[in-house]
Amino acid sequence: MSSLPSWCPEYSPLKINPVTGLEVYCICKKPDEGELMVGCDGCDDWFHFKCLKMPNKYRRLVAAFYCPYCQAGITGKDKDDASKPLPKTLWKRKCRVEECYEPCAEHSKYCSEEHGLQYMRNVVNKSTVDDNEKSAEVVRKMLFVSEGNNGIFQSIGKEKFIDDNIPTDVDPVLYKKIIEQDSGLSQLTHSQDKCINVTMKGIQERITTLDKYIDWVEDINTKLNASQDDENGNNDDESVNHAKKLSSKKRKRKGNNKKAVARKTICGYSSDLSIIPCTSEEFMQLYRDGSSSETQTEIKGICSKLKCNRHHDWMSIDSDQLQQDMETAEANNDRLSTLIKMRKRQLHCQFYEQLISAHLQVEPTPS
Amino acid sequence: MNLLLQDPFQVLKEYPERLIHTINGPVKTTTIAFSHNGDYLATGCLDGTIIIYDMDTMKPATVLSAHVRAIQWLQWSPHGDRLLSSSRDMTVKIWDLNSIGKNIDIVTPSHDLAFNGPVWGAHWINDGLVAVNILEESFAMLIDLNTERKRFLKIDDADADDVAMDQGYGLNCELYPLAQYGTIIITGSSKGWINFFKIENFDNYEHLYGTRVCSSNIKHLLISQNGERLVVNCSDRSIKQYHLNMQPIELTLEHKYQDVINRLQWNDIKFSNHNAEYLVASPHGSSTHELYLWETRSGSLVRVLEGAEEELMAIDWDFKNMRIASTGLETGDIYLWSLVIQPKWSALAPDFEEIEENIDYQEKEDEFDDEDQDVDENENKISSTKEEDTPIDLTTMDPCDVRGNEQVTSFILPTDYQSILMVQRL
Repeated sequence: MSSLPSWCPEYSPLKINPVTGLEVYCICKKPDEGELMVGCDGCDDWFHFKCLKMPNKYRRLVAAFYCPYCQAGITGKDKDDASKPLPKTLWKRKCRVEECYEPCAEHSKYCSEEHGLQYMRNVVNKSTVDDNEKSAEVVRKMLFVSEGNNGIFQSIGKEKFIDDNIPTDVDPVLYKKIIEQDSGLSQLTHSQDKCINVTMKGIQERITTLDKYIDWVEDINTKLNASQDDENGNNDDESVNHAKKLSSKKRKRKGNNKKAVARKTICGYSSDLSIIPCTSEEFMQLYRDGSSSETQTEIKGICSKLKCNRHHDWMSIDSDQLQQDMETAEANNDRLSTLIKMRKRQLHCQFYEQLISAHLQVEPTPS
Repeated sequence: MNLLLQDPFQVLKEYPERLIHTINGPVKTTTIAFSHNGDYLATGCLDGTIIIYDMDTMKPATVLSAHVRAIQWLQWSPHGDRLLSSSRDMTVKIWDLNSIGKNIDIVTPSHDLAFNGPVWGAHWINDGLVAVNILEESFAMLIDLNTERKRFLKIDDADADDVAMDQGYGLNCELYPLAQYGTIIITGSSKGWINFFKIENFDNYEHLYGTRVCSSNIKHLLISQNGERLVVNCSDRSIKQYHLNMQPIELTLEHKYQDVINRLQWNDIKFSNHNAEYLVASPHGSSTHELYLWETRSGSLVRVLEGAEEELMAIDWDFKNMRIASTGLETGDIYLWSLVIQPKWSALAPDFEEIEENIDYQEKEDEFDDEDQDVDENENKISSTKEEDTPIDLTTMDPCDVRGNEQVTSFILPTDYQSILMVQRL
């Protein structure tokens, strides 16, 4: 059983003043003199707002009232039922406009639409008073953009403005502290720079080198065929054209055409593709010089076997390898971009939070 | 459940018996390798991807991609924290698995060695030396990882008086498991030659011994953990098992395993642990879907591991968990054979009895008393303090596990939080 508040006299069951014969109410046991009163939901007695030290302006906010005696369990419907908790006075939620003591309308923080508008206007006005003109400008812009539509207004903050870079001039000191000096972010940006400028460029260069080398080998092979055709006395342009067609990067080794089968190609593999040792004409000369001996397998470090099992398919392996490297680098780049974005978002949140708290400290808003 | 508490007759079986799981990889698997403690299974795929499976969850733990052609061979490093992969794309790569999740970049190989031909296999010799077999090369190549220098393990003409000069191509090599004779690697060639090399370091090596065991390809060459048995899988359809004597080096033929009826070749072979009491092999040909298991002492077939629905290729044997894994030729799935041990909870306390049906237990008067009132208090105290005085060592590992395998510290793949984050973003 909770005790009575200190200002409340002990309970007296007195209902009628035996001297005056008038009905008496409240804790003060005085007759009704037209002062503001509230009926207790527990004992059906009436109580003065003043006696209970409740300001008169709360009159419309009472949802369920219980007098001090009912709250202390002295009177009331369920006073003997221990299982039920002691009743408590309940209040309705007050309108957000400071000087308004009307209860809120349903599903609203304001008593009326009028007060809602008034409150927001107040907020806008207050921010106009701020020496930071920008934030007020932002709110005004937001109100303008939303055109009074609540849905649009609410969705404004959800857009990913957080991903945008923060202009350095908002708060240069804080910017430097949080964003510029973040080691995680700088490490990530550094890695991305390296990935784009070193790794990817390197791979691109290697691809060009490989293409050049393959072109050179193809050139030799075309010439070899042409010369062979010459030797065979088969000099029609068609076969040369055909050989040229075949020497496109993806060669079809097995065709129905018998000429294609008879086509003479060297393997052309070299361990260092960056060196093209000589022009194709010189190479042809060397090849012809050596072709009489059976054992010739290499000219200037280049494999010159006609059917080479060992380096079979080396061109496509090498280009696949480079492509794979490129893909890995690209995937890495994507990955780094996402990580940078996430890191930036964290930092931006931090930045804005600290910016706001710094402002609050400078100008404490009345609570 | 702790294996020590299980029925020893179930736990200590020397080979797996039943197909317990099949892993369906996204790409065809060509080669597999268990980590030293059998915690992970590294699988090499046809397209060059390496997937490491966690054997507790049977789910991929890491994917490593850099090769562009089929993986030919995978091997965990002596310390179990690096992976050596060789591929038909003419490269050998070494992956430092400790770096996973440590760097902000995608995991790339710590060493990327290019050769001028497709690579058959690559083997760790020690932490800094690797031996590599390249297609159409007569000799294995030695690679110093610190400097990335390469050299061939050639046989000097001077020592090679009794060794025929044309040995064909070097196809495989294997490290001799015991250190007492120094670092010795054994190579097998395409013309049936076996050579022993003693390696001091990258610059110094010595050809110890060479002999011809058959006239065809040596497809596989294995040495038992105790270094006494050597087995070669030849393409002449036989597996030859030798007793290996190291001082002086001498090979004595013990058994020859053949499929007498179908005369099949063998795709892959593996020894069991210790002194290699068992040998498992996968037969070639689409009609057989089993693994054959022989006892090496008597040379008799003891078990056929069934359950796969296709021809089996690569085999690996995880001794710690008594598991055999093998890859299927057609689907590229990984089949796992293991032991099925029924949990025996009564083993947790010797006086426990397992009962068929529930019984309402009647508690005796003094059964759960903190102190036994009947016993003299002093005596009670003495006995209880005695028990507490004996410290129980819970942290030191036994030198051997239940099956007698040497305990090695497990390598644990680091968690790559950034990749998890990336996956969640997608």
